[in-house]
Amino acid sequence: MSWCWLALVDAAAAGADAQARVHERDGSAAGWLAAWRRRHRPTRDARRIDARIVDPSGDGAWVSLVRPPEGARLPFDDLAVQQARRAALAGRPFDGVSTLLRDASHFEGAITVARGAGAERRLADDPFCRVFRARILRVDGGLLGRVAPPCGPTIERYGSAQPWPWDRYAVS
Amino acid sequence: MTFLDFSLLDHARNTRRLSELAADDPVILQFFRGWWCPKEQAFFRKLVALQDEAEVAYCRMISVSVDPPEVSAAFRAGLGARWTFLSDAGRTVQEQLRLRETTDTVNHPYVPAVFTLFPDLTVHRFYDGYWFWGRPTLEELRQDMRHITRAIRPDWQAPTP
Repeated sequence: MSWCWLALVDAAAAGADAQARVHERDGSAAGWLAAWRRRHRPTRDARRIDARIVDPSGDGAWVSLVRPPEGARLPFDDLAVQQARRAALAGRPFDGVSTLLRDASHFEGAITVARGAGAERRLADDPFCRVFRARILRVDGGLLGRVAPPCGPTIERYGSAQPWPWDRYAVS
Repeated sequence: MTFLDFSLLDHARNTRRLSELAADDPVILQFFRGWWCPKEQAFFRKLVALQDEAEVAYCRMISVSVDPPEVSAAFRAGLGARWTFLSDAGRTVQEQLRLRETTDTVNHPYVPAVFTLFPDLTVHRFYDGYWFWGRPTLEELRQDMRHITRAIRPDWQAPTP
């Protein structure tokens, strides 16, 4: 599958295909980030992401988790979201990025993964945090991999059900 | 003719194979001398303009030089390019492709060249850019992308009732 479900949940999720503890910047617990490879949505707050960034053998990482405020409904094709995708392609690549989707037409946020020296600071430049507020979180190993950036310059989705940057029509 | 499916480091030091970058889309594959060449700078300004169309047209752009990844990354950022730059600092692929510019005995760069490719790396057209006017115009690139896209997309003709 080209996509999987991702959700930030309070406790370890039964049935998740990969998950890891999450921490706030001050080190306090922030729950678990869990991923499911299945068709039906596992929790109310789960969103579709590009499945390539999920890797159960992945190292710990910092992430920028961008979510819309309660009640906000922004079209995926909004100019701000388009520009964030352009900026993600133009800038120094992160270890992974995916937009979050619930349906075919709305932008439900993004997750951006960074590692190494200055990773936490770099995420302040996550292009998607210019659309909605980001939570900067530290994620333990076991969930997020490292994915080479998209070839570019495509910012469109390959079908409205596919999270960007998934980059082909054929789904292996 | 099918293009060599080479592997090189990209501007972020990831090893990338051409077929992986192409995936299922048409490709504009460009070989250029280096950031220092005014002719390349002029041509890149055209390509940067083209990316505003390419970004919604499901095609790929790839630029290759002998510059190290860090130099490619800086040049790419300065241009505002949003596609992949590959580094052949070791000139191994240049040798395999026989694309060394023999008249430059200082930098040993790529001879400027553009190939438009089908997703399976079949060459559609080749442009020899040694002389600037040998390079493709944006209109020629648009026509090439149209030709390839029409050939590979079974729904090129819009579905109608």
